Amino acid sequence: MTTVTRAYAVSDSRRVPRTLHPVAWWVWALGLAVAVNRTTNPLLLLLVLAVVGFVVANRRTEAPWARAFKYYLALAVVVIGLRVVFRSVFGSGVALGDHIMFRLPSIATPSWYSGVRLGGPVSLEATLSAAADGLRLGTLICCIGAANALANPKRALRVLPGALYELGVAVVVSISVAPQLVESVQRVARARRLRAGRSKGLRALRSVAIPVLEDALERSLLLAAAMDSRGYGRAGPATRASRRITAALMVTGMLGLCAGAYGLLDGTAPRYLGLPAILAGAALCCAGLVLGGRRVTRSHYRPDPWRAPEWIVAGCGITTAVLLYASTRLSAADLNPTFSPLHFPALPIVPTIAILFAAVAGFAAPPPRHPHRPDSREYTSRRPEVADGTLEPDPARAPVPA
Amino acid sequence: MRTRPRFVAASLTLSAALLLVPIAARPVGADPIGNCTTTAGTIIAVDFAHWGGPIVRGCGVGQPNGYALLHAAGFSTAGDNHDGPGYVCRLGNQAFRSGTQYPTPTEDACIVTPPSTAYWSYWHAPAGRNTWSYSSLGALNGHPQPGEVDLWVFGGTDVGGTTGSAVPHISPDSVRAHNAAPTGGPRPGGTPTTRARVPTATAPTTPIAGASIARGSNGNGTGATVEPATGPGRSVSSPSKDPTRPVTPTTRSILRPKETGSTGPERASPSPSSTVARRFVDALPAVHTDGSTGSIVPVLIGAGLLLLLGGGTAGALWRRRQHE
Repeated sequence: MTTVTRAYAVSDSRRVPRTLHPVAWWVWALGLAVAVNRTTNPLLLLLVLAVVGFVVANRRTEAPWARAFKYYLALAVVVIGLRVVFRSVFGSGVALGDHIMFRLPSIATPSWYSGVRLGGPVSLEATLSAAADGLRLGTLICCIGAANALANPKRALRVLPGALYELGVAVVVSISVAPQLVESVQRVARARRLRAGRSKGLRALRSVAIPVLEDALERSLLLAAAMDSRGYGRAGPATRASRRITAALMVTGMLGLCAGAYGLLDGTAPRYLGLPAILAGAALCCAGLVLGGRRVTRSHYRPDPWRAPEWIVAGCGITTAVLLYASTRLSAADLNPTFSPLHFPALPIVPTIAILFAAVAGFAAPPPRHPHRPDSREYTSRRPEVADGTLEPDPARAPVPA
Repeated sequence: MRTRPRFVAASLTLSAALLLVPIAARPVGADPIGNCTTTAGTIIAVDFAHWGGPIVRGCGVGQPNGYALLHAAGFSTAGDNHDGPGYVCRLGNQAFRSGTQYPTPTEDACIVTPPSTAYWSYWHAPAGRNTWSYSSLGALNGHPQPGEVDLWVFGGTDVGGTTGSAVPHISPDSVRAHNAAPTGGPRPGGTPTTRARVPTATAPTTPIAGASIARGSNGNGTGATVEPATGPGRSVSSPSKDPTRPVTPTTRSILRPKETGSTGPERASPSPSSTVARRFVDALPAVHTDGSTGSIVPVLIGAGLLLLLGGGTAGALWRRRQHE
C-alpha cells in the first residue's frame, strides 16, 4: 500500500503532517464541553458548534472513526427536536404576555395528578427555551464527537495506566467491530459485483453473509494470535496476594468515588460524604492502579510525542473552560438568558472571546496525514492506521471469498 | 399536500412573532391591598427575608391560580428553563429593591429545577385557619379561595414541607386581611397610604381562635373579622431601620406572635421561640418595560462570526473533496 502523505487543510502545506497526541484533543474537547455546561445562550452555543465544526473539518483524518462527526451532529438535531416536542406535549404553562403559536388538544388530568399537564397552548417562549436547552445538550454531544473524530482511539489507549491496559484493549476491539463489519460487507459485495453475481434476493444475502462471517472469524483468529504474541493477559511476576490487594483497593476506591459524587451533588447528604470520600476514593484507586501497573510491563513502539502544538491545543481548551467559568459571576444573566419576556440574547464579550480562542486549535495542530487515493475505491477502505503499529491485522490481507 | 398551507401559516406566525410584534402591551396594574377583605380576594405574601428584605403583601381578587394571583398583586416571576413559567424560580416586586427578582442569576441560573434546599416554597392558609399547609403543587395548579392567604418563602424544605428553613415563621393571621369591607388602599402608581391594616392580634388569642375555627366549623373566616390593629405594644410603626430598604408605601413591624406549638395536622407555623420583628410592606404594581426586545446588534455580530467560521469549515471541506 503506498501512502503518499499530503497536507491539505488550513494553514500552509509546508508543515510536516502528523497526528496530534490524542490526549491533547481530548483535553481541548472536554474544555469546550465544560464551557458549554455554563451557558444556555444560543448565540454562544452556536459559536461553540461552529468552532468545533471548523476544527474537525480542518484537522480530522480519513480514518473510519474520523468520519463519524456528522452522526453526532444528527444526534444533536434529534435531541433538540425531542426537547421541543416534549416541552410542547407536557405543557409547562403559559406566562402572561407569552406569544401563543398554536394550541394542542389538552387532556384533563385528575386532581390528584394535576402536577402534570398534557397538551394545551404552546408558546413561542417555551419553544425557544426548550430549543436552547436542547441545543446545550446537543453541543455537548458534538464536543465529545469532535474528540472521537480527531483523536485516534487506539493511540489514546496507550495513555491508560498499565493496570487498565488489558481492559482498554478489550474495549477498543469491541468498539471497532461495527466499522469492520461494514467494511467487510462492502468488500464482499464489491467482489460479487465484479464477478457479475446477483446483488439482490435471498441467495445474494446468503452469499454475502457467509463470506462476511468467515471474514469475521478469520479476523478474530488473526487478532487473537497477534494479541497472544504480544503477551496479552500474562500475569507477570504478580503473586496471588498482590492481585487480591489490587482488586480490593480498586473496588473500595470506586465505591468511595461513587459515594463522594453522590455526597457532592446531593445538598442534603452529610458533609463527610462529599469531598473527603471522593479524595479517599481517588487515593485508593491510584494506589490500586500503581500496584496493578507493576505487573504489566509494556514497551512503546513509536511513542506519541508531546510538543508545542499539543501544549497549544490543550491550552486552548483549558483557557476556554477557565474563562467561561470565571465570567459566570460577571455575566450570569447573559450566559443564561430567559426568553420570557421575549428579547434578543446578548453576546457577552469574555465568553465570546474564550470560545473563539478555542478555534486556534485548528491552526496550531499540525495537518493530518492524508493517504493519497488512487482511483480504485478499494484503497479507500484500507485503514491508514495499520502503519501506526496497532494490534489490528490488515483486513486487506484477509481472503476475499467469491 | 394538504398540510402545506397550515405549515406555511404556522411558520409565518412564528416569524411574525419573532420579528414584527415582539411584545404586546401587557395589562398593568395591581389590585389594591384594600380590595381584599375577610371574605373576598386572596392575600398573597412573599417573604424576602433570605435577602434581608421585608414580607411584601399583595392582593388578588378572583384569580384562577396562584400564578395569576402573584401577577395580579404586582409581583413579577420567572420560571426556570426546564420547567417553564409554571415553576416559580424567581420572584420580585417593586417594593423591594426596585423590583429585582430573587434569587439573582448569580445565585441560581434557573436552568434546571432549583434544589430542594433553596427554592420558593408555596404555602396556603384557608380562611379561618391559622396554620400553613405546604403546597406540593406549583403556582399554576392551585385555585386561590376568597379569604385565603398564600405565602411564598425562600429556603429549603423536605418533601412534605414539615421541616426546613422555608417553613414560615409568621402566622397566617398576621398576614391576613381583617377588614370586612374594601378599604381602598394604595392605587397603582398613586400615593401609597396606610389604609389596609396589618393585623397584629395578641399572641395567645388569635392562633387559638383560628385553630379552633379550623377544626370546628369548616373555617369560613368568621373568626377573623376582628380588627385588632391597636394591640398595646404589639404594633410598632417602624421607621426605616433597614438602609437597603427602598421607599415603601407602608411599613409596619409586628412582633411575631408567640404560639405554643402546632395543633392541626398541618404545620403550625410560628416558631415558639421568638419575638423577632418582621417588616410588612405592601406590594407595588409591576413596572412594565415598554416591550423592549433588546438590541439586535449582538445577534448580528454573532451571525457574522458564525459566517466566518462556517466559511472556514466550508473551505476545508471543499479542499478535502478536491483531494478525493
